[in-house]
Amino acid sequence: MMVSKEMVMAFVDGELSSADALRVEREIATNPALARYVDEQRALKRHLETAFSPIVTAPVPHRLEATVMDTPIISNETAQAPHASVRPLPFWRIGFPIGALAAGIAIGVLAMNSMIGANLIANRNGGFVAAGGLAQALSTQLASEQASPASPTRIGVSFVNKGGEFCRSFTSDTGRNAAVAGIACRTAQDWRIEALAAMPAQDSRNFQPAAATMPDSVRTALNGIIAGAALDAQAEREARDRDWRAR
Amino acid sequence: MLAILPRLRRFALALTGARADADDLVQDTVERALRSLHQFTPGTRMDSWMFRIAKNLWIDSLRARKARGPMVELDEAIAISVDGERTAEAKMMLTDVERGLAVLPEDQRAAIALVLIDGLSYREAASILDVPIGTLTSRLARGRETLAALVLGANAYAPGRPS
Repeated sequence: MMVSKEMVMAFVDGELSSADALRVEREIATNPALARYVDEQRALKRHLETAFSPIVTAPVPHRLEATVMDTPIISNETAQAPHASVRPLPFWRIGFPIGALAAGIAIGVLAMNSMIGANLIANRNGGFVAAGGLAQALSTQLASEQASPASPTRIGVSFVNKGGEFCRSFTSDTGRNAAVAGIACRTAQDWRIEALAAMPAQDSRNFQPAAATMPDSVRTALNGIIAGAALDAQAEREARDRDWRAR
Repeated sequence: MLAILPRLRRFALALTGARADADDLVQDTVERALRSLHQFTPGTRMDSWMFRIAKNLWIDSLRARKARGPMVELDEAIAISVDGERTAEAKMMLTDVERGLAVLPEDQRAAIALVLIDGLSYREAASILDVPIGTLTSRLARGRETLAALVLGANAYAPGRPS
């Protein structure tokens, strides 16, 4: 049997079927030139692995990790902004939940799915809306009377944006010892996610008041869209009782 | 995504041949990935997706560099004269392997980086490079031959011929 270079390569790379690999091994035993070539190819692979192993074990530079943490992940100018004709939303910033990323070490893509997927936010028409427990908390929970400690979401401030919609800042415990802060504004159907950013990992049972721990990107977003001052407890309650219908 | 960074840095280093360039490429890749996260298909491999972004950005930067033409050489000449000492040091730290990789054509270098250094399967590597598996394996074979000669001083192997 003649073993081609391509076959040796596939053999060394572990790409041969076990039957073919066995044939190559048999051939190696009787063909010193082939054996030498296979050794060389393995040595080359080891050389490459060794030469590039330091960078894999070296700590990742802080600025790279910081980029992962801080970069806004969506810049969605096309997302429909009600009252855009009056004044377009200054930005549509969605920062990245640190929690999903940190957890990504353990569960990878599942973390992404859980973040974008059904847990707390859902993708709708190219934008994101609150889902599940977050949607419920936004609709029902008052900042002035936080829900039971079991609720993963805390409401920060409620306010009216320049488009006349009610908006609320929140922090949500995404589990896995991580939290996300954000702003959602009430549309006819949904709570549109206006901003979302990671919060430093913390003891999830010990939330700080949402406004106090608001990440800069969320704070900036809030300041960019708020019209007037935040609602006081009474105005907030009235807004909820009218199901957050825009005034 | 954080978990992918070490491998992404290694891939970028294999492509660019310099740590600073590698980390710049990784930085750009991460930023691009986060901005395009809505294009990521859940359930597919995030590492492959990011490697593909890195590869595309790298190709783009090579094209841009070529398009700028001699300007670059001038830039580099200035950079070297200003920072000659550090540049020389960095060059001395290049291993035989890195030097070998640097002489490979870009497409072969990328194939080698994915399969031999990162250990990806042919299928994954071909998909990252957007080429058929046959193209990948021929790039691998050619790259390997050059590297073997440079790094190991190996002679060509003639299949089937007893020594």
